[in-house]
Amino acid sequence: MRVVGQELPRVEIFEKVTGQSVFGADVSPGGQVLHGKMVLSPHAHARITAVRTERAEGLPGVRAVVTAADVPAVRYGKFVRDEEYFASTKVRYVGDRIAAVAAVDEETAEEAARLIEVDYEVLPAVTSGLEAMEPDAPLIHDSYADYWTQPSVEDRRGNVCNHKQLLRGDVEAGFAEADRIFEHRFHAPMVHQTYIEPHTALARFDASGRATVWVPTQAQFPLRDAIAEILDMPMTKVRVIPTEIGGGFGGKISPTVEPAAVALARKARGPVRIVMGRGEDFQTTNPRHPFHLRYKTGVKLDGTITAREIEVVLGTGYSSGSGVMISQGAAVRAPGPYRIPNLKIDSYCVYTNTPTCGAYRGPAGPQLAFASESQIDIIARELDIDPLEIRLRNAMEDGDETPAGLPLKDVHVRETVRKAAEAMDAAPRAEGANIGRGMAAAHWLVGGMASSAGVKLNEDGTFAILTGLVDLSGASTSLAQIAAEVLGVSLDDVHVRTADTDFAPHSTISAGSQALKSMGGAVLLAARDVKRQIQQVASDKLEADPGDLELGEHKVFVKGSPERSVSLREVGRSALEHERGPIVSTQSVSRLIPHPAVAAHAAEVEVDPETGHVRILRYVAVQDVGTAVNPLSVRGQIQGGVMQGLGQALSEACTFTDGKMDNPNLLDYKIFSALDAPPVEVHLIQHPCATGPLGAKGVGEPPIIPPPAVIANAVHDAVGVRIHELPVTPEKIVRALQARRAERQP
Amino acid sequence: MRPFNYLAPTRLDEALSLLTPQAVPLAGGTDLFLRMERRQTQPDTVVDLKRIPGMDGVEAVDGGIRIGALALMETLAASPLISDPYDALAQSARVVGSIQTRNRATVGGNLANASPAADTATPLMALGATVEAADAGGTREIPLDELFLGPGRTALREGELLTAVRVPALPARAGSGFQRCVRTAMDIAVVNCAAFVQLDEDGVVAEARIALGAVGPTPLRAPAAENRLEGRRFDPAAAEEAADCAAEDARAIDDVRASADYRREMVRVLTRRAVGNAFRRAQGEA
Repeated sequence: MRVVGQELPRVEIFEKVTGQSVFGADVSPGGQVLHGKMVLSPHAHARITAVRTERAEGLPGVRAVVTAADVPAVRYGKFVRDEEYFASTKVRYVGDRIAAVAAVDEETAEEAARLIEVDYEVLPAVTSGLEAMEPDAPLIHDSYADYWTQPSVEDRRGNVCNHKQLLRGDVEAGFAEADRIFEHRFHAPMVHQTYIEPHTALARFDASGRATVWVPTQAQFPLRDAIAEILDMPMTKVRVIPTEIGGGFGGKISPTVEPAAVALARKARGPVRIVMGRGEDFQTTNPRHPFHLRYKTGVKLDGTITAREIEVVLGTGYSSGSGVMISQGAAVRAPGPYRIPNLKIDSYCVYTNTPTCGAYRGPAGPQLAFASESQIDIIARELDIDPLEIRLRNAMEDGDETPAGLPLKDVHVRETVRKAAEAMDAAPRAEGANIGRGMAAAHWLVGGMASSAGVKLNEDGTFAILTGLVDLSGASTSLAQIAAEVLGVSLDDVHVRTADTDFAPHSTISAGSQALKSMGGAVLLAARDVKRQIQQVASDKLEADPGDLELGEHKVFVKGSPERSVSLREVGRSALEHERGPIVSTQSVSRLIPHPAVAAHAAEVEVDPETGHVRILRYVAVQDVGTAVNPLSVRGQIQGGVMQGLGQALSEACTFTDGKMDNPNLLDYKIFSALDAPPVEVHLIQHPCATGPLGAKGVGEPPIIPPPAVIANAVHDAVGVRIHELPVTPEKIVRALQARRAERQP
Repeated sequence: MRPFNYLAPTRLDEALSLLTPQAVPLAGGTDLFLRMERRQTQPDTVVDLKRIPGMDGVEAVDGGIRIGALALMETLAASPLISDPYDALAQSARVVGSIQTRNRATVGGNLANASPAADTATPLMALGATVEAADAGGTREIPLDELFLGPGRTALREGELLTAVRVPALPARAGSGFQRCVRTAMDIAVVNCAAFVQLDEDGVVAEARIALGAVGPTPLRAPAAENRLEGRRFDPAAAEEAADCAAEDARAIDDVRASADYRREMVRVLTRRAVGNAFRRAQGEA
């Protein structure tokens, strides 16, 4: 292929690197923009006995104050309707919304927010999912039984808002068949996406009752629907205009400040902007679910897994959010990329007095892989089997089924895992003591959502792609590459701009690794249809059969006689006079069957046994990506995913004391920076996938999944201690080494 | 952030006359603006010192060095007057924040901010530094050991400005070492430690100074550890014993960055290593 498969720079990159891109807080609608500010609960769990807004409303410069009394009494939620936008009777976490204010400047808005008086009757709170399941735990939703739920929500009781059980084969028989049974518990804490751009929204409410919201979002169509639902407005009275986005990683899908901005703009009769500070963003958005995990695995002495019993507890936060879906997905993915005949999986989604967790990149993936792949490593050591060997022995293959019974195709576990081991083994181990190597493998199931996209031929012979897809990580460039490939032009001749909810054809969300897969399919169909239209118009000009015409070098020419040609520019112009009219096509794809995408990583680390400090000497990431439409973007995605995963492996955790986050700032919430980043050696396994456009697979999520397990396994190899709780901090390593010394010298 | 008046005098006496109780001096601003943004400091007036000439250099004075309060971390890291003889100080300046921070943050600011974890404080204490404090009435010298009173609190009087840091001449057969422990590369120290030793002609410790950071309300000296070294020749046992004493001297607490236990353990490890570095340099090995 000519354009697809090439390492091409991103189409919007010049605007980004010169600072011209318009991000959320940069939007200027003209006229005075009021400053909005949220008023949030300081308590993790409390009954609201009174809210007094008079003093705030009386402050000069304040233009609007909104509370639960100003918005319809809507209870919403995709799986369980358990959320109200402004808390009316009870707050359920530190950060629950009480009110919002709008004022002429930031100072006044902050002052007004402080003047809102709330009386609370403080209740006992619970922030751990496991503790929230205890019979005497405080009940977070008193009337949970009355809430509407989707039919897929099962077995709710107390704080458990969903319990999914999956059974395959006969787990007891599987354990009976095993030579050895291993059982371990693991914990992965809440971690935050920590995108560079905090949440922000600018809302205008016009005289005809229409709301316009400028917002950096990954999901403009669902966001529009959510704003309309929360404010009980007709859907198309809400227009969402997506701005450039400074990172999302799944954290910019659900509504946060947008409904408040609209409610304020309506009441204040002027545009209102809300920009979250970093502390507010850490405490009130949608981080990754904390997981408590129990893995019990039966194996034969040759390493063959006979059975796995898995219990997963997700602390979902004060409302179910996307937790139900993620806990259901976790059940399906929990066994790892292995063929295991007997399975019993229980996945519990549990309310806690924390922010509602969301769909952070590969939701559930890193937590599950940390537990599963740590245990596989433990088993391999106990049975004295090579870590590669045990993974190859149990690897799933084409024709195997997920625990939910979905048959799998395009499975490349063995090749991916083998490549990771081979790449690591290509260099000898570093000299010295306390050096270790570890590996881990994971699969991710990438589906696809219904999408549509348009392609049109401009009258100068260039093309435009009509899309509502938000470009997070190069999707626009890859879409343009697909169109350029079909239409015989270069990337420069295809223009991509994201349109808003009023004007764009319905596009998938930029999440779930499926932006390119879904939209690429629609663009491919539209480009092919445009090509047919071009051939039709050109065939009259060239007096040739449309089927004999080819596109290339901005021309349409007769196959075998390239001198008989007409330029695309001429086709574009003459189409206006031609009986078929302007050349444009909009095409759709429906939901796509999930395919597995496999990531296998390996690392070499050096551990300082006195300080516990871990230095990553080498890191290898291999991924099964189908066709890499733009290998530069694909490698970038993989390297970025590895860095985020390493932060989760080594340093990141949202921690809470009395329900309040201890570290809602970048000083104490430790993400990996460029100075921490090891070089990442990326290898792509490319076999075209049947369900992706031109064979592409989903790429974005798999690389964040293995790193925590890889690091835990490498640390064990280096110094012989096993860390069961993320992150693998120096302090935990030092404590584990001290405990081991104490054991050896009784 | 509350609005404020911004003044940028070009002479020191002018700056001193502007430092009223409602004014704060501004050097690099890497700490000050964060505090203002969080409303921990709400000054009426910010007096920018960066236009006063001659306050940002490093010069040789009386065999030692005098570092202007406005000298950048990057200047300290690169100065040949510092980076060989006063190794611990150069090393500490190299790890403050990011490259951007080091091209903005100043040594005067790092000290006057009085963070218990300030990276340049411990090496300067170990090297026996003093600071110059000026006000309208004149200039006095304050030993660095006496500068820090608590988190964010110093012995500087109202209207007094830290103008320079003086490091005494490095005696013969002396050396220093700096060690620090962090969570990720760009971090405030979980613990930092600097050691200085001076040997006599027989290789016996004549003087030792050990300073610990982030294990008390201010950077601390570790007197028990220093005593343990004095009169000893270098051997691993001596460093180990001093390290154990330093762990006793530390007043570590639990916080979000580390537990008190881990901090004490790291004081032990880092002291032993810093003392080892200092000895090797004193013996001319490194």
